[in-house]
Order: sequence, then structure tokens, then C-alpha cells
Amino acid sequence: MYKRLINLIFFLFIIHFVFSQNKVAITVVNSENKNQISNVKIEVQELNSIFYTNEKGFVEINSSNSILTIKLFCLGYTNQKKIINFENENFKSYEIQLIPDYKELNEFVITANRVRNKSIEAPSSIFVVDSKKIEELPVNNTDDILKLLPGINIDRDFGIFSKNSSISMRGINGSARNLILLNGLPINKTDGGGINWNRINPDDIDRVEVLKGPASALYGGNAMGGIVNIITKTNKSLINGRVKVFGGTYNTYGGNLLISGYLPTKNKIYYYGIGAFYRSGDGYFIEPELTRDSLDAKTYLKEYSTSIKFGRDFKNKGFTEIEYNFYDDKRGDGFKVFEKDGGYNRFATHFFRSNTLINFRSISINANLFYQNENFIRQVETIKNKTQKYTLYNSDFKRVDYGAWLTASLNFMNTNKLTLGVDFKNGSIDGEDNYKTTTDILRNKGEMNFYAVFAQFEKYFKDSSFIFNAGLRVDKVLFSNGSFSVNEPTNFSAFMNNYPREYNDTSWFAITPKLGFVYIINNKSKIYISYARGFRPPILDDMCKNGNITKGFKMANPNLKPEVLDAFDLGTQYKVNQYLKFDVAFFYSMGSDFQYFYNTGDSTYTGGNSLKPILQRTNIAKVEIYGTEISTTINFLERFQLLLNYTHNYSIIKSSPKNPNLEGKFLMEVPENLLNAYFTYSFKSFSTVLSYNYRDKQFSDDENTQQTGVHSTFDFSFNYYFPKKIMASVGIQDLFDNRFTDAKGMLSPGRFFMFSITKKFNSK
Amino acid sequence: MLFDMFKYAFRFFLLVFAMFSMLSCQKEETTHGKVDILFQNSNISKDTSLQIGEIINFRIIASSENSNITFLGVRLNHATILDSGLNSSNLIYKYSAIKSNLSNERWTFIVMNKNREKDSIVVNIAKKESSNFHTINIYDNITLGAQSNCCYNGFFATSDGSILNYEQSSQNISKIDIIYCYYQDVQSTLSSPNESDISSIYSGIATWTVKNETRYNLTSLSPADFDNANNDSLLITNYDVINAKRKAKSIQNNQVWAFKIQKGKFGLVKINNVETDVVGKINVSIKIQQ
Repeated sequence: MYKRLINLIFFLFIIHFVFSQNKVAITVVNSENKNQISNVKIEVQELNSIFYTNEKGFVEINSSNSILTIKLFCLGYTNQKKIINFENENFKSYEIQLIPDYKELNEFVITANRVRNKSIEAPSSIFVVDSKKIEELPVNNTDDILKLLPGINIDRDFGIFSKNSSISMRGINGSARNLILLNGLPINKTDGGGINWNRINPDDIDRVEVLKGPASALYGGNAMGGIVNIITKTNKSLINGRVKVFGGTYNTYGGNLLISGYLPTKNKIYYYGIGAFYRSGDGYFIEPELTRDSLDAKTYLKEYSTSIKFGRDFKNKGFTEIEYNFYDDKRGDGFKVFEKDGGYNRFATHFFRSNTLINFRSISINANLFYQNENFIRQVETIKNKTQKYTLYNSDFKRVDYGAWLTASLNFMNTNKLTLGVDFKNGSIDGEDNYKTTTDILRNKGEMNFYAVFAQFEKYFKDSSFIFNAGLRVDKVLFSNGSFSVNEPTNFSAFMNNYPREYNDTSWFAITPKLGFVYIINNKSKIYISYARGFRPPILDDMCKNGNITKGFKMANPNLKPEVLDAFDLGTQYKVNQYLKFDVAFFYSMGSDFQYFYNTGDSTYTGGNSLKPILQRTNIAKVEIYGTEISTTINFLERFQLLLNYTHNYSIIKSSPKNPNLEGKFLMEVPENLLNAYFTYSFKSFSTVLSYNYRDKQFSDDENTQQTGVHSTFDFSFNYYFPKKIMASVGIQDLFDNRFTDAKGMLSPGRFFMFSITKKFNSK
Repeated sequence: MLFDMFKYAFRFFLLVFAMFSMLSCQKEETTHGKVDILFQNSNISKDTSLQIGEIINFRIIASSENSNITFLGVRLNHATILDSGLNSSNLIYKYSAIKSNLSNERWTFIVMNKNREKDSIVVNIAKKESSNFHTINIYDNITLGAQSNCCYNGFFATSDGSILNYEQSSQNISKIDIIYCYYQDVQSTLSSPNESDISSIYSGIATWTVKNETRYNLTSLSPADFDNANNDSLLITNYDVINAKRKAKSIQNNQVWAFKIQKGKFGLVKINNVETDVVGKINVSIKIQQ
């Protein structure tokens, strides 16, 4: 009897269980063509399970929960989240439409207008790479992300062991001629003009917006070749984060932790973010084996960064956010004589920013503050082959840049938009070369203050299918407190005391106009034509620092003026259909007052037995640049994406009366042809990327005497998504180990593996 | 509302800033140590006076606690005799000189460690009023061949006036003070084994275990002045301690060059005839302290 009773209870329990199950049937379709999408990954938070849609885009989920939170992931589509509440029903059926991400990605950008705006309305070529794409790519440093885009040449010859990287865009070389923004704020240093790419953690990036062509009418200095705006992540769930550990070639290993979310207050308006990153590696010999000797050492690296962010979300009315970030590294330069660490470079950087956006009716106000303090510390050890003369010195450069940017954007009469702003920036250098093998201490100081006002007007015609865009910016720049001194000089530097030690204050104006027209074919296609001027301010290093260089003695020039570039741009972004999209741009630019070394005709003894020419960087050259960029995106069979980019640059020095040797020479670090191709495939729980990058030969000096040859690499990555939000990735740079040498004959790292495991976590 | 925001922000930053402080306070390793320099077994270690031509043998030792010595400097009055880089916790340095015609020589030896801590010693050497000049050796009509000359050798030993070829010199490396050679840029040149470019002509010299150095400077003396020199007076007074170089470059007929060899002896060389070519030769007369 008991046995029967137990069987009955068990039977009833089973019946109850089966009949109390909730069921949801989901069909996933493309929002544009309504085609069913197979292999869509569906995470069900409450069940901690993953499901995939079948070939008809269909999946059925059973659960005893009354509420299910589901997230849908599919390559080529934007992620979606949906909460299913069964209430009193046991069965629900949904059709979920996924939006192709090539539409969503480019829809809104910040960079084009300094406030959020539709990218289609900008008379420029704009590209966006989002975090999902970044996660798929074999990225070890932030600038690796830019390889995906057409027309960007990246010089990072030693991979992660490079002390820095430089990029060129639109036929313009050098990081100082491109403006790099971090969350909309400039991080180009006034001293050297460039930025430290190593200090930006690629895992912390939400999206990278790239605007091609001059944009000084809105952004001022450095925005000549284009703008790269790196926007970091802000996750707004209660708690959201990821832990990543990685290891790879040359005994490289490290970890990364990101946590963000809301503070547990009633209305969830305060949010925070904390990040920490560490990476270390033994490195490799950059000196080729044939010429290597006992003094060559490996280019080791050790770096870490920490960041903290706090913000208040005003929902539709805006937000205010503050962030502090600290980065420190040490990278060996590949040469070691006596010192334990040999020669090395170290950048310790404090960065603080505050961004506030206020939306009030049709007005948006963006008020930003930034402070960047970079302490560049270098140790140099050399020993001359012939004389065995040993030299050891340390450099200690304090580079501080801070400023305030204020932008207001007003929409009025439905067809007009006015953007106004004022900017202030101060950049300074306090540098010291402290020689240990002589008594000399060389010190240079100087600062520049930038004051600017700008206005941009946009007029929409004929149902917003035709947009007129005009802007003007005036920058007033003051150079002051410039000095160069030599303390306790020996023969090595005593001669430098013959040259000015205090520099007169100087100032100049930069007036940068912009004019553009956009014809919007449909909400995904446009044709634009534009004229814009860009300028690059002189760098403090050239204005207030003397020094011995390979070519002779470089004398500071406090009277340097900015380089100016007038650029014309004609382009289209054209989406043929959901499978095919083109971005094509033709550009022609004329540059004036470009800075090159000018032989003053004088010479001096620089501590040796022979006279060396005295050189000064001077505004002496006109340049001419033209080229084409073609980018094609092909999506097929829902799973595949092929991206093909080709760029042709022709950048030459047109005239240089004071230094005729430069005339007809190509701009350094600008390859004539660039080609890259990305093939992405995603299926169920994995995605893989194979990329090809071709770089034509390029010159690495102004006189075109040093050249690096044609170089091409294949990169590869494979990501596997395990349950419980665990992802394993393998990234391989230079898959076929096609090592190349730079202009100085130093070796690239060759095939470079990086294996990582990432665990993501979040709560509602 | 605003107060709340600042309150939360303050608490949050306070908490995390403590964490950052711990993480970001990694300082460069710096050590501080005292550096010392002194004369040891030096024939001159305190202020004194010497006759012109007397040999001075300095021997200094230096040490530094914790941080290595990275610089050694030698100054004569205000002129730089030596600036040398090194990286060692201690140092023994020897320097030989000959009392010049200067009424007072102020010799300063400076050492500095990596932390820029310095120490120096100074000695003043006055010229004795009773200074006498000394006798000299004369080698007349010496012909030296450039590196591709078929018939004349280019290596000269001032100790005995012998003229050697490269192979013979390699067996007598401590004797060789003067080498004649031809460079594309500076043409006819008197040099010595320790001159840095000489191994581009005679590559084997790089492996010599003893490489004597001779320094030269062009004088304003005429050939007649040279011929009339019967003691070492002109030899000493015409040598320019500060500007003498390791090469006598672009040599021309009738020039008179002053020189000092590794052993500290002063000399003069008169150019009688020079054939400026890689296969050329030079004819000189040499006077050197005994």
C-alpha cells in the first residue's frame, strides 16, 4: 500500500512538474528582409543556459520560471535583450527582429560634431569599430584596432614591445598630425605631438570612431589627417564586469579586471567603473642574429594601469562623469652594457577627465575638463664600437597638458543646427637629460597656451536630404617660459652655452574654416564634398630643446609656426543592399609651412674632432597629397563578413626653397599603397577572423635615404564562447612568421601568439 | 540631489584611491652612496714644484658605496684632459705627464657616481725656477710609406728610430708610436696604433694588446726653427696639451708638428716632403726627448 501511495505521489509530482513548465517559442528574423536567422546564440540568464536557433530561426525554451531574461547574439547583428514575463500564461510565442549591425554601428557618432549626431549627416568619411568587433580581432594594443580601417598606416615595428606607435592617415605622417581623443578629450601631448598608445587598454574600449580628413575647424590643433576618438565602456547594470587572463609568445602574460555598474541606490542614477591591467613579457632580441653581440638584450616589458570612474546619469537630460587613470610601464630598448635593466623607456601617466552633458529642450551642452601628466623616464646606455667610449644617461621629462572644452549645440526652426564652443588648453614641458658618464645636465622648459572659439552651422534642405555645413575656428596660441640650460658642462655640451638659453615669448593665430555639402541618398547612403583646413602646432621639443642629432646639432626654434593643410574631399558611403556596402573617398590636399630641418649654414664642434652642421626645424616646405580610399563590406549567408580596404596615397614635398634637397621627396612613413582584408566567420559558439595587411614600401627619413620594404602579414583569431559567459581566445599576429626589419635593421617580433580566457559576469 | 552625488563620489573615490595608492607607488630603485677619491702610490700627491720635463705619474683610487662610479674627469687648469664613462664600484687610474713650461699646473681629478655624488682631488705643480732643458734624439730623413706603397714601410719606433712594416710591427707592438697612412678624406696623416680609424687600414691593429697613442698638434714653427732646436725646450713648449689630436691630418711640406708619445715624451716632426697618395710616402725629420 505504501508502495502504491509513493508511486501515486511521484506520478502526481511528475504531472504537476510537466504541466507547470512554461514554454516560449522564439523565431529570430532579420529586421530588414524578415529572413529567418539560424544559429543565433540565446543566453537565458535565469537558467544559466545557452540555446541556438535552428535553420528556420526557431528555438523553444522550457522553464519553470515565471520570468526569463534572454540575450541574443549573432555576428553581423546588434545584440538584443528581452525579458519574457509569463504572468498567467504557460506558453508564449515571439518573433524577434535583429538589426544588422552595419546599420546600427555607423548611425550615431560623437566625433563629427562634438555632440551626438547621425554620422550620415557629416560631410566626412567616418568609421566606427565597436567592442564586439574589437573582441573578435587579434588585438594586443589599441592601435591594432585601426588596422581594420582603410587608409591608416600603423608603425609598431616591435609589436607589444614597441615603446610607442605612430599612425598616418590621409597621406599625412606622424601621430602629431592626427588628433587622438579619449572620450572626446585630446590626449596629444604638446611637447612631442603624439600620444602613448600603450596606455589605453583595448579591453576597456566601447567603440572607436575615426573621422578622416582635417577637422581643425571643430577641434583645433593636430586634426590634420583625421581624428581617432576612443570611447571607453560604461556598463549600466547593477554590476557588470570581466576578468581576463592571458599568456603568449616570449613569456608574455598578464591579466585584466573591469568592474562597473550602478551604486545600489533607489533610483540607480550613480554609476562607477574600476579597471586594472597588468602585462609583462621577456621580449626578444631586436638585433638580427648575424649582427648581435653580447651587449644586445631582449626588449622586455612590464606595464600596468588602474582606472576609476564615477558618474551620475540624468537619463535623457544627460550625464556627468569623472575618471582617473594611472599607467606605468617599462620597456627595454634592446641594449645593455652594465646596468641591470639596460636601456629602457618608461611612461608614468596620470590622466583625469570630467565630462558633463546637459540636454535641455533643443540645446545640448558639453563641458569637459582634462588633465594629463606624463613623466617620461628613459635610461640610455651606449658604447661606441670604435673607441669603446661608454655613455650612460637618464632623461626625465614632465609633460603636462590640461584644459577645458565647452560646446553648445542648438537645433532651431527644425532645419538648422548651430554648434558653438570655446576651448582652452595648456601644454608644458620640463625636461632634463642627466648624464652619468659626464657631469652634464641639459634642461629644457617651455609651455604653450591655446585659446579658441569656434562655430559650426548646419542647414537641412528638402526633408533633410541635402545638408549644408560650414564652420570656422580661431585659435590664438602663446609660447612662453621657454629656456634651455646646460649645467656642469663638459666638452660634450659646453658648446651649447653659445646659443640662446632664454627664448622670447611668441604667439600666432590659426584660422581654420570648413565647408561641406552632403546629399543623403537614403538613411544608409550619402554623397559628400567638403573643403577643410587643418593645422598642426609646432611641438615644444622643437621650440625649446637643443641637442645632438645624427645629422648635426639641432638648435631650438621658438619662432616656429603651425603647419597648415587645405584639403578637399569627395566621397560616398553607399549601401547597395543588405549584403554589399561601399565607402569611397577621393582626397586632394595642399600643405604649407611644413616643418623640416634647415641647414643654417653654420657649424660647430659638438665635443668631437669634426665640425657638425647646425640645423633648425623651420617652416620651409609645401606639400601635395592626393589619394583614394575604397572600402567594401560584404555580408553573406548571415555568418560571413568580408571587409576589403584599399588605399592609394601620393604624398610629396612640392617645394622647399630653403632646402631644395627635399623637393620631390615622398613624405616619410606614408606607403603609396595599403591593402587590408578581413574575413569573419561565426557559427554557434565560436567566431574566427583571418586578416591580411599589405603595406607598400615607405621611407623613414625626410631625405628618402632610408626605406623599409614591402611588408605583408596575416593575422588570425579564434574565439570560443563556453557556457557561463566564459570565452577562450587565441590571437596570432603575423601568422606565417614573416619577420621584417625596420629602417634601422631591427627585427619585428614575428609570429606572436596570445591565448586568453575571459569570464564575464553581470546582474540585473 | 547634488549633495548626494558628491557624497557617493567622495566615498567611492576614497575607497578606491586607497587601492590605487598601494598599486601605483612603485618607485624607481634609488640608492645613495658616498664616493671617495684619493692618490695612492702616486709620485705626486700634494702640491709641489718640478723642473720642466720631469715625469709625473699620477695614480688615483676611487670607490663608491652602493652606487657605481660612472664618471672620471681629469682637468689641467681649466682644460679637459679626460672625460671618461665607466660603471664600476671602484677604480684605479694611472696617468703620466711631463712637467710643461706652464708656471703652475693645477691638476684636478673628479669622480662621480650614478647618484651624481662627486669627489675630487687637486694638486698644484709649480715650475722650478732652476728648470733645465734636456738633450734630445734626432732622426733625420726618415721615409715612411703609405699603406699601399710598394717599397717603404709605414711604422716608426721613436725609441730606437727603427722603421718597420706591419708584420714586423705586430711582433714589436710596444715600440710603435707613429704610423704614416693615407685617408680618403684627410689624406696624408700621421697616426698611432691607438687612433680609432687606423684599424680600417690595418685591421689587425684592433687585436694588438698594446696600442700606443701619440697626439699631434700643428705648430707655427718654421723648418729653420726646427733645425735650430738643440734641446727639448721647443718640444715641450709647442705641444698643446688641450688641442692635440690623435691624427696629424692633411700634412703638407714644411710643416712642423709637435707630438707627445704614450710614454709622455715630447717631440717635433718636420715634413720635408710628402707624396699625397695611397701609394705615396713621406719624408720627415724627428726630434724627441731622450
